[in-house]
Amino acid sequence: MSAHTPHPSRRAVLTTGLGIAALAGIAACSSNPDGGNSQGGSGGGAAAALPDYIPFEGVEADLPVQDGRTSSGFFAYPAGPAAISTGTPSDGEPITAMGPTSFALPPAMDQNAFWQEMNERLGSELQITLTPAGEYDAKFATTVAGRALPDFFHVGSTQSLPQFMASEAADLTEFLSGDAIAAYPGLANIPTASWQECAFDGRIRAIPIQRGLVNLPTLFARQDLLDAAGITETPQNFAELSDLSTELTGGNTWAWGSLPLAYARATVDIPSYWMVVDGTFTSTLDDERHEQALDAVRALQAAGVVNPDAPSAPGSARKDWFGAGRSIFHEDSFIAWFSLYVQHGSVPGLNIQALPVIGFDGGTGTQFVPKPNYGITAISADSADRVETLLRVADYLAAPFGTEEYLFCKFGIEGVNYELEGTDPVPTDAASEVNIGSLYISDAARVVYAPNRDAVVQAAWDHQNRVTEKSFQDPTLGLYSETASRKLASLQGTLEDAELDIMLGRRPVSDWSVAVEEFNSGGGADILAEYQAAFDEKQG
Amino acid sequence: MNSTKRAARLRRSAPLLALAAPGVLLLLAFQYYPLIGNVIAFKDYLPFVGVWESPWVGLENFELIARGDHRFVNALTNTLIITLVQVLLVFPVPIALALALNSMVSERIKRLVQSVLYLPHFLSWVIVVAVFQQFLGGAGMINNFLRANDLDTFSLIGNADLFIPLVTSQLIWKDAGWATILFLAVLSQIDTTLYEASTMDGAGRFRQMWHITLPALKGIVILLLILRLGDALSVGFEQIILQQPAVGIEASEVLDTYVYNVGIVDGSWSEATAVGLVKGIVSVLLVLGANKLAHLFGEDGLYRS
Repeated sequence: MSAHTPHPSRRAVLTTGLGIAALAGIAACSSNPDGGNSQGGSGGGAAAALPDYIPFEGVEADLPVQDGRTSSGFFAYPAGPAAISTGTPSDGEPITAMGPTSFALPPAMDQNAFWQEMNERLGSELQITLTPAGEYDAKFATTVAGRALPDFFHVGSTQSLPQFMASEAADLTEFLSGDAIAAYPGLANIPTASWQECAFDGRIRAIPIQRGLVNLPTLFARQDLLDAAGITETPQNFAELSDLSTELTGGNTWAWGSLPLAYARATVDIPSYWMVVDGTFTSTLDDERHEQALDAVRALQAAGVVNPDAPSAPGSARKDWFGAGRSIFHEDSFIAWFSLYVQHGSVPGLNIQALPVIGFDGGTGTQFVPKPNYGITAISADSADRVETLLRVADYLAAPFGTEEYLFCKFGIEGVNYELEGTDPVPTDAASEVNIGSLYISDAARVVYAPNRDAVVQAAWDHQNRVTEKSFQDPTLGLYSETASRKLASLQGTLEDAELDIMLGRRPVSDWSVAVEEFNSGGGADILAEYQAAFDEKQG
Repeated sequence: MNSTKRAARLRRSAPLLALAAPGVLLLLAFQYYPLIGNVIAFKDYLPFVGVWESPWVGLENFELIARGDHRFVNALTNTLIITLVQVLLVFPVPIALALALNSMVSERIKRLVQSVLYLPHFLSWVIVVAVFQQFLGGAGMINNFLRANDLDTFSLIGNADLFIPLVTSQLIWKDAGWATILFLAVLSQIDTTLYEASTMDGAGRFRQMWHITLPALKGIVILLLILRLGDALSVGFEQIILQQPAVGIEASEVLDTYVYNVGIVDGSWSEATAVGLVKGIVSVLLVLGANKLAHLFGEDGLYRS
């Protein structure tokens, strides 16, 4: 689940913030090895303006946005939601799309009432190819090489991203730049910061899958199971967390469904490979606290409190374990808080809470704040003649919270996928029908909301507020490194393999420095230098 | 006249050629045409730029083989070890099975045993790996039983040290039965009068096997060994890639998964193709070499010399 790891994931780093470079007027793909076949009209001239942010005015949040600290929160779905679109957005021709998914696959189209209704509402058959998130980059790479990109494609990891986008993605600038986006009220409700990642060489070539602060890597706990075990105190340091884990493991249950390296790193204040320290972009890899974190997780693994199948299990299996009570702690993205409730709605007494980021020896650790998007989705250059239609579809799928379209896109059909309780859509057993992956084509700006679960909304909003007090933003946001785009995936893969080997006890902890040495000499040092140069340039 | 003779022969063979044509076309389309793609081994290939538009870089992509890149050498070493283990342990199993089956008297039981042995061959690796995982995994059936009864559990799946024994036993379980078919066919060809005559001469079962059965199998064994040698650098892609996350790259990377991981997952298409190309050439040389060797020993090998 690369998108949810708190240090910059492979894809994260590859797709991170090329846009800001464009904003700053930097020719992001100046090192084009092909001699510069990138198009994009901007040349040395001014970059096109990013889309304006025109927030949806139709609703008022119960818990308002705290800038940089929280998303907005809603206790109930606004009553009598109004539709903001008119007619069907599409042209009747089928629309193809591909994207990753972190959910179990939904029922096929012919057995999926929601999907059929979606086609009906859009006015076109929506043909989506879903791939588990962990496999998506490979699927994407073969699709690109096979020249078979669909109308909408979620942008996976690729070399020379700016060049790729210039060649394969339709130019959306004239439709979205500046106030032109007002024609698409759903897309206009996405904050401008998220669009920075979508600009390449000054042209807008993608739609952000916005998450904002609901993207925070988060450690969830089954509070109902903790209560049942008589545990009421939050652990204060890593040792207490370890003891607790031992207490909670037994029989067919393990405290952990994954190896919590990301969380361990947050407890020792180095949740990322890169950091900005005293105004200088640096690598944390030589910091010995990495070994401390690895050692701590290794000890958990050795104590047998991690599900033995954790290293090979896909994200969807981990969610299942958590829902079934076979794991007590679950690492995921903050947004999963609500989808986990939906997915496991039938579990009696389900109570999911997020653990604060504790300090390794007490106190508070450091929360990592990833880039504001899950990723970006582009429209194929081959479908350029349908751009306006496809943008209308994207706009429909991005309808803001509080609209009738949002209610449908996220919760499905009343009486089938959800039942109304008051104004809240409460998911039924058929709720999984909505996981057709339309949200990776285009998605609404996210808010904190769970139907009929006021306490969860409050807890989630409070959690954001609490963990962002000591946090730092992914420092590669807005920086571009050509070496990173070519080699980081491979280098990071090798480093992650070493991490896994160390955590599973196959290699000694001291091998970490060997792996880092390999990482640096294989190109990591160049990547750091390029990021540093880009960082300095951005600072001016 | 030579040309009329040739025309007559062509006419005579026309139906046969027509029958072969679809197969040949398929071969051309899916085996030979893609071979052209190997040119990206000599280019700095970017998928969205295209095969022909990507710039030439000469032998730059082969450099990692020459300098002994750690990841490549690791994959090569694992491949060779697994090949060796498989030739020694997997290859003889179907022969032994075939001999055992052949010696069964009851035709009904023999059929039954054969069916049971053939079945696993028709399961895909995904299923086989999942079955092994469900039975033998850390949270699998047997371990759960042991855990429920307060007994010590074992770590087999996900244990890097036991990876090679694991994949080897999976391979035997899945394919050993199926591989007996060829041997059984040869065994059924043996002239039964040879056995009768040897019995008259007072030969026991062991001598019969040594002097009649095994010599009859020699040709097919050598043929299959040569073919296996051609595959020496391929040790099962699906089976290994499915189990790779559990044991890590270091223990499980083989050349085929290396090409996939480096080429498709990491996007270094050209370097991966270079490795794949070298692998292909080495495999061809191995087959030709082994065939030559077979001819030297007076066997038919792949074809008669």
